Amino acid sequence: VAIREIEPGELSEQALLILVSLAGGPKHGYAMIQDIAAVSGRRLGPGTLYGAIARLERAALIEPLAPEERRIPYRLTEAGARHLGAQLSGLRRIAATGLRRLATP
Amino acid sequence: VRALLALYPSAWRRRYGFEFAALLDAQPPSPALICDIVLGAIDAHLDPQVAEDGADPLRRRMKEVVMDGLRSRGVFIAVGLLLPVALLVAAYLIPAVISDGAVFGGLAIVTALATGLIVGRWWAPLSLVVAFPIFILSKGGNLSAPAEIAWTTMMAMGWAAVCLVGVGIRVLIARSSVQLRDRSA
Repeated sequence: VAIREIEPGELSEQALLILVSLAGGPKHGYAMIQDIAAVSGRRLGPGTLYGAIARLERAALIEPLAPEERRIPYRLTEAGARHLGAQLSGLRRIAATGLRRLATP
Repeated sequence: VRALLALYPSAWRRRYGFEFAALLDAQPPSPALICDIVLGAIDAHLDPQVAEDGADPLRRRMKEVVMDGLRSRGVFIAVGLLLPVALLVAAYLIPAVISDGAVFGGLAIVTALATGLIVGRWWAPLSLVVAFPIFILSKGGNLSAPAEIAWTTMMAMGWAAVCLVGVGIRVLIARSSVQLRDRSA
């Protein structure tokens, strides 16, 4: 059985936004677009969104739930939560360093 | 807008087409939306995000090529095949206006390359098979002179190099957004 794995720090921006959105609970595509727009100010197009969803599902970082009418919600897997946590921790270190350096005259 | 779903690979449509169509229905049509869908389709072709089922990869791939050619890729294939042929015919029908068929052979090759980059890896060698004879014909089939042979050889080598670069670019694009690593378990 082949398992595809995403290394921490290698998530695309869209993939990161989707994982952050799903960290708040399962969502279908339209709900993800709205949530991501509210959180980041970026409105992902359907093609962009589903390209990232397909890659994340292929990498087993998210998984589909039972369909609700014509929509399929997705949720984070354990691996997805682990990768998201590692990615955000790395970004926090980078942000802290950058802000500290900016504050230093 | 939903008709643009036909641009996606068949395996992708089988997996995501239903929910993707539902999402499209909830979006107001706009040029930005159309661009996003088209770019998403190109992305799905460059980096197949959904694996095909089945036991025989070669037979499955051949069937996929034929079926996709008859459906979503028909437009690309028609352009890749018919445009070079049309250019060649034009070169012979109006020689007074278009005297150098080699120009059209070159255009045919460029067209086939562009089509290959959009459609898939398999198209690159196929378009070589299609475009190279067209190029020779466009030169009037005269390959006897040493200069003609040298020129044609250079074109063939250049074309092969361009094919390899195109495949290389595709591989790089496929690996760019999300780095994946296969691991056997």
